Amino acid sequence: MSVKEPSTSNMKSDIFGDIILKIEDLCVDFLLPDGDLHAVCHLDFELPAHKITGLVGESGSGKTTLTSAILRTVSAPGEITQGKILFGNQDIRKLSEETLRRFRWNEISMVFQAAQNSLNPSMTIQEQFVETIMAHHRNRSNKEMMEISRKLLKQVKLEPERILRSYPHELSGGMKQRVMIAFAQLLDPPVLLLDEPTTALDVITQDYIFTLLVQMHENMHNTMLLSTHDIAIVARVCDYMAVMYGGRIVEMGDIFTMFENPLHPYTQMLIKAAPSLVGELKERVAIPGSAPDLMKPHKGCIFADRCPYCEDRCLTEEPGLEVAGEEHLAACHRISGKEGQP
Amino acid sequence: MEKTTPIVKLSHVEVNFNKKTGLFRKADYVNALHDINLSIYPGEVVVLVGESGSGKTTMANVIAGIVHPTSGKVFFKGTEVPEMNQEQKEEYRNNIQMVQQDSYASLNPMRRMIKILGDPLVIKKYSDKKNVEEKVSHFLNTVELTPAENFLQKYPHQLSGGQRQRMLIARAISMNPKLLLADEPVSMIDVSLRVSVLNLLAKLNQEDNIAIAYITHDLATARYVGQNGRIEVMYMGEIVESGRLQEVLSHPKHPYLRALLNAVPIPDPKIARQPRETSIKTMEEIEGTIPSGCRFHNRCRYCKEICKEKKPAMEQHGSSMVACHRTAELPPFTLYQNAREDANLEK
Repeated sequence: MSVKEPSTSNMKSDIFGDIILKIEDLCVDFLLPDGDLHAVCHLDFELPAHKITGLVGESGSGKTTLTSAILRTVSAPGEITQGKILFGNQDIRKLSEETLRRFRWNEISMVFQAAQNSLNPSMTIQEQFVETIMAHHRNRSNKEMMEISRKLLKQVKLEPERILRSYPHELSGGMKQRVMIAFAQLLDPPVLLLDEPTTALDVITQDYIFTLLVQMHENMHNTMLLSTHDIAIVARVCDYMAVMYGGRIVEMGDIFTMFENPLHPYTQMLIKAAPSLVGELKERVAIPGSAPDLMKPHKGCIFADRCPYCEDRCLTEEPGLEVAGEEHLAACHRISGKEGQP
Repeated sequence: MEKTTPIVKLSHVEVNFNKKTGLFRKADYVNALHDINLSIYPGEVVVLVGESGSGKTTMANVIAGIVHPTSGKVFFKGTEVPEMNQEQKEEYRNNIQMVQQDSYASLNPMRRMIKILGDPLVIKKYSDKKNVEEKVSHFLNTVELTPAENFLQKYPHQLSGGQRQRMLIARAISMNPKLLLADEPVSMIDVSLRVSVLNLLAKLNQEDNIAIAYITHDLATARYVGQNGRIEVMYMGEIVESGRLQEVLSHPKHPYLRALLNAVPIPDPKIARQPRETSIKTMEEIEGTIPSGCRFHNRCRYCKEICKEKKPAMEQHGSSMVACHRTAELPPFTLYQNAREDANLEK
């Protein structure tokens, strides 16, 4: 149990201040019969501590692969082939099976995309909560465990007495998702990964869940990584935004900077493409072309074939993430000469 | 507009679904649609908005003739549906086409595009076997799947989500419809591509004068598609507010619509973080049965005694129709701004 030390922020990043998780040169490949698919490709990423960071990208951009790589739950044929995932001073990739088992949920937990499928249909919520606590802390008393469960369920505005006795099928989609959020907090981990937590939920329910999440964050000061395809949610909830494209992080920065002064053409176009309730309708433009084929070896910038500002250099040389301002990183050749603004 | 006959007209439509019951329990039903009146005229855009369970899809199914109303009447071009002769029935089925939500589930995975699009054309005699390829290419061009030759021999799994959605649209328009029923056509595709599919729908509406019924829970895309059209806001099987979309969204009256508008995140951190009206209860926090009086009263912030007892009727307020007892007393609404008067009105 000595693992549980709030190992927050003995790491410093150059631009994001305290960070809790640092990913260096990470590659995740899916070894398919007709070649390797590079779902995450030489990715560097830093997760600012005690903040909510949004990870935005289209489907197939590698968001889910990245989050599952952090917990080392990439399933076959996927494989982490290269890189480091540093949490505190330990590399998650080097943990033994047993330490990894203890590490998951204790230090980093996750709220999965389809809450419907993440709960065991043949056990009550109470049994599942108890099972999880027991797997990590054997000597907890029954009373203690019940207290924790009740407190967490209340935090997500559910009635503990009723919910604990229920089976998953007796709950609605939004309730299950809130149970999953309580579940993820069960061992009070410093980091919470959320993978599309509100897809398939109604807007009012979605709004409610995010209000709860933000409240929880303000109370506990935990670190959250929220991956979603909906840029509007990130605008509402997050402190930082990272944009993922073709298995790479192409831009990351403070939320206000990212929306006011996006530097990567993809980010600029993504913001323009999102339908909104305010603003001029004519300004909304779809991004031409389609997502890159990650099976093919890539030369140059991953976004080059959809980019309106593509130059010769973009086709041959891959841009790396560079500091573009205070708390702002971008991977584009055009920003080094400060002519990024169209 | 008034003089032309509507393509479809629903008059006092009521739909009940029978509930599965136990051996000793009394037969029970769920009321999916209640007293729906709706007309869709040629060439117009109608947006149906509501949460899941509000009856949007049931309404689409009634319009398409898949679900028959328990009571009330459905008219197609002025004729009541059950009284139509064979010819009219055929016309009814051809003229109203659906664009489904899940493009993967609605295309046969074993058939190539040329078959999926071509066979209906041959069967319905829009084309003979020899020219079918040319015809299909024409429709693929219309939905901007170009060059068409590349797509003819493909299977659905070889296309991306956005391309499959375009296939569905191509399939629907190949029957030369007067009305497209688009049920959440963009909810499964990426944000970056949504606008292009929505633009395609708008183009079909403007250039080919196809009426579009756009069914969605997403007000942001609704605003995009229906900019020159009408909106019908649904709640628990009823229409609670309707009118010109621009007008209704900028001056929403029904408390439910206001709550919906407030819950939509805006892709701009400066606006999205402004204080808003407090959100209403979610669907799951209230009891499952349909309440008496106004169906919304147990979630409503402005609920008074009368709302619990008497059902509000649709009434004209300004240029839109609203079903709410308290419309006149509600504070003015501006998106993302806390109305000061709010505090006084709340109990």
